[in-house]
Amino acid sequence: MLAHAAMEAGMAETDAQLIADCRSGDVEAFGRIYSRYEQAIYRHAFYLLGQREDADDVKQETFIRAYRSVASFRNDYNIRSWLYKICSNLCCDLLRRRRSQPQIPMQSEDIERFVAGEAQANDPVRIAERSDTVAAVLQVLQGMPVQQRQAITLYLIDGFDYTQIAEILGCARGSAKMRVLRAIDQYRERVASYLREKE
Amino acid sequence: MFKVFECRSIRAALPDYVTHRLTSNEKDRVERHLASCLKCAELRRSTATAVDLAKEAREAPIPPSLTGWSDLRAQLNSGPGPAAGRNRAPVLVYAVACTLVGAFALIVALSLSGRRQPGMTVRNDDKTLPAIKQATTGRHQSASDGGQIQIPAPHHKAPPGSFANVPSLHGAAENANSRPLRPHPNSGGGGLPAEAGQQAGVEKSLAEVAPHTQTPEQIVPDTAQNAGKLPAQKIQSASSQGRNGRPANRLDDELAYLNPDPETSLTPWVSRQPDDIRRIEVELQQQVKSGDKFVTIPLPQIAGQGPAAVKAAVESQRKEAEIVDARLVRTIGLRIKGRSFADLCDHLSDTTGIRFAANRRVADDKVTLFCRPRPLREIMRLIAQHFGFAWIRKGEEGSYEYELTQTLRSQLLEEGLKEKDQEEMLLTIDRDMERFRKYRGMSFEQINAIKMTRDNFRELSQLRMGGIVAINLFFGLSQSEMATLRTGQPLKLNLMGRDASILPPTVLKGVEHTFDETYDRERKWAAEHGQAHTPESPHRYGASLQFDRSVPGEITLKGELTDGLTGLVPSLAVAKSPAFKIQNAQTNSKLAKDPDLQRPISLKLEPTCTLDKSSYPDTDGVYIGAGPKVTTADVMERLFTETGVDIISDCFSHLQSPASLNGQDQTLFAGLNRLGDEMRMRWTKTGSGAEAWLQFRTGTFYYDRPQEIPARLLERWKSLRKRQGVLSLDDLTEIGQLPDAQLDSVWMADAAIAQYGLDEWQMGRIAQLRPHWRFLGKLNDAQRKAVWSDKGLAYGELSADLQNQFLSLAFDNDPDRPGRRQIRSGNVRVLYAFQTHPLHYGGSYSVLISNPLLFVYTNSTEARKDRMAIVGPFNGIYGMSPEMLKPDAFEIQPGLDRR
Repeated sequence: MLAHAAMEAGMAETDAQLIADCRSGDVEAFGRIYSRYEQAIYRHAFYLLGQREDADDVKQETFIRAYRSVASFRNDYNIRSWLYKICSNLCCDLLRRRRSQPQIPMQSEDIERFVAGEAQANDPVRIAERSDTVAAVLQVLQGMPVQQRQAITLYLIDGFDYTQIAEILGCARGSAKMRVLRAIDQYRERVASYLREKE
Repeated sequence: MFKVFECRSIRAALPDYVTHRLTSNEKDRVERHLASCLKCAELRRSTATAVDLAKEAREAPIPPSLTGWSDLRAQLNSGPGPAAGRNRAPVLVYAVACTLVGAFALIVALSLSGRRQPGMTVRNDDKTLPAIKQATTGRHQSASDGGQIQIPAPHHKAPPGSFANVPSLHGAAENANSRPLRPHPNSGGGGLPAEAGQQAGVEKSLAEVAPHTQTPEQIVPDTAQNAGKLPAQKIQSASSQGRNGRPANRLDDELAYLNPDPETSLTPWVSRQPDDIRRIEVELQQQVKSGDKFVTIPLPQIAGQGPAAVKAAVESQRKEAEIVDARLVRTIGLRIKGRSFADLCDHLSDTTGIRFAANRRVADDKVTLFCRPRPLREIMRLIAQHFGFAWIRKGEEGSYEYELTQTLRSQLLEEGLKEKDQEEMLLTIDRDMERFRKYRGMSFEQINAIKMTRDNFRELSQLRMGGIVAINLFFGLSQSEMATLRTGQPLKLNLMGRDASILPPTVLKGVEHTFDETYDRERKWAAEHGQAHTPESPHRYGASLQFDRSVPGEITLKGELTDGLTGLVPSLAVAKSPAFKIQNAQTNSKLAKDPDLQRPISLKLEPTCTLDKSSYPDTDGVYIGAGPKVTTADVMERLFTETGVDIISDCFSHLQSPASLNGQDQTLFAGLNRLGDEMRMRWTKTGSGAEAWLQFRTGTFYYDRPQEIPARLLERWKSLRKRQGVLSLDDLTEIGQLPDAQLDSVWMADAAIAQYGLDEWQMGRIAQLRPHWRFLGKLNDAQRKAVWSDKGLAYGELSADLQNQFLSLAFDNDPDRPGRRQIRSGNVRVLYAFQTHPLHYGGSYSVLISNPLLFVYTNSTEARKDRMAIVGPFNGIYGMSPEMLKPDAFEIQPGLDRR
């Protein structure tokens, strides 16, 4: 935990420098921020939205927004949390607008096919396990309310603590914790239901 | 109560615990609690399963992003740079984008209906809004398209296989201001057949997903309407049809429904009308007046016979009944001390040469009978009269055999007594609840404002600890809801849903303050431990009401108020069966002046056994009355010796403290009253002088009979233990197969340990292990041997039914357990310290404190390897993995000797 905090503190300095460069019009400095957080933001969006294409779009939009408002970025703020906040809000907006449209969860075959192309391709058992896992989590998350999906993704997938989640969600730490606990209650029930159905 | 508070706090900490975010102190606290709380341990396990899934997902690769920095850089360069103020443009862009999502969806719908042609294009000249293009069409301009966006397919709903071309696409997106088109994998640009198939797939997928999205609340009825009324309606419908379709409202009609009258059952098959059969029976009873009246003579079979046969049957019956078996005139003295009727009959057979037997209905009931020599037929008659049994005579004249049985009528009478008790107990509860009527409709604040005095202390405490909702529920019960409660089912209400309207609004106002103390304590604890503060109050409530009948002869009205995680369950009213009220002096007042009962009596009993606190386990209320003991049979024997009056008594394994029975009384009458009251037995006297009998009967005999374990079994285990030095796993398995009523009985457990020396009794009895023993009881000998071995019994060796049971036990009946076919491997084994360590030396497995016996279930699925459940008499741990165990986890450690 301490090591993780120290690492974060170290990165915050670099981030601050990069932000300063960005403010002076250095697009490539922003590119380095992008390369640092792009995967994490994309993963967050992917699990929230359940679709690669939308996740892709939201990721790009996140960085566009970040770049365009970098001038107003507070130096005492954590850039990781900031990016997540933008991304999370975009995802929520999209999910809310999607509500009236039927959604299709990603099929496990899709993921399996994708994973087959990955480096672990030499281990078919592992591939099957991983594709099942991703499909399972997507399916479980898909039926949950947006806010709960957000809380679960931030807490379990992205590994944020309650303080960071509170920053991202823009609420008090206690509220963030309550939201996470409730979301976990729901998530646990849904995982159980999923596993039962899978049999 | 404190446990409830602790559970709540622990459950809130579980997510942090399973994700390893707690400090070591907090972790220790959680683990200590989990080791002693099955419910929380179960929740931990299911939370861990869910978290593990997410953890795996965090590390699992996902389909890669199709866009990279080059795409973004192009967009950044084409748009405005970093702004000093808040940039609203992207918000606007996104809003427009989302608006266009609808347009896109419309286009997609048209395309799916076959109106769209492959390669159809939509012009979009606005190059300043890249986000719009991405978020709406999703679909990126091809370099060759210029300003046109091609819509090959709604690929955000990509069908299986849509990632086949991912690698090539990913590297190709280098063109500034444009991104590569994502062709439909099956149609090379968006073919209709593939989309139609996809749509079918969508529908199928949705159909498959729909059931998964049901919450447990939707599946399991938990509202008053569902949990309460439906079963009651079912019962009503089952019982509402009496014989010949007439409504049946009374108990006797219900019994008649369940047990059709043999008269009407017989009618279709015989030439006689029911009235004729009854007439013949009455005629027989009137005509046959002499003979052994206490003996029942079976009615000859006359079904389907003509008048001549009936006449012959009547004659035969007359002759049979007139016969007096001269062999029963002989006198016999008996000293039967707490033996079964089977033993008594064997003894009579051996002594008299006449064959006696007790059928299964009564064979294991116990009797104490001390008498000087008396005619056998008198003794037989007294037994039948005292217990409500009957002797059946069979065989040929001169070699008749006698079988003791309990008639159905007698059994129904016992059931009738219970029913009558129940009605009285419910009335008692109803009367007791009147204490609360004046608080009906009050809010929590109003009740809290009432000053607590000695008179209202009990009521106010119950109301403030969750009873406020329950009493309002109780006073507002509808007829059907009361009927539901009477059947023993709980009445559950969701106070945050439609059930809230059942209660007056004032009652629910401020009800959240019921939990204030809990939440205050948690906040304090959280502050002390640097945890996040908990919310001010709970956000959801439920309430339930139930007549708890788990203790024989007792009904408790329990009302629960829950906040979803924990609950407060005050016992609002308790009623005991009138059978427990024994007032012999009053009942036998007519005998107060009986000359036979006027002599003084002094009783000094020596203990015949000692009830010790056993080392393992003492988790329930057993051993409360530890110390020297005597049985009721000991008391009867002593009484016979002291008074010389013949005695007959029933016998249950109730242990008595000799100190409470010893004493000197001025008259036998007073002494008998004192002893009877102390032992909860009623007594009476029949006959006089040398012919007198003292008769004793346990007041609660109709509750105690189902709890008494046959002495033959206890004797056998006693003998085995003497030979082996310890009860073996096979013996404990056998004990675990006894009916719940017998294993639940606390006084029976006392007797098994003190009277029969079965120190390991609790291992077989304790409720937590019971299902595990019953699982073992279904295995064959070879399988059970495998379970005792170090290797254990392999999961694959079990039948499908047993595999399901295995999983229920390994996952503590968790409905979320993996399916039978998901298990790749597994085994079950039992570790037993007593096998090598005598009980009084102690002995425990270090994995669970002081558990001398462990059931270990291991299973592997594709998702999770070697998941373990370890269950001991005290507690159980589920969802363990081998690496979580200490190296010496399964080694026998010195136990705590509490003797």
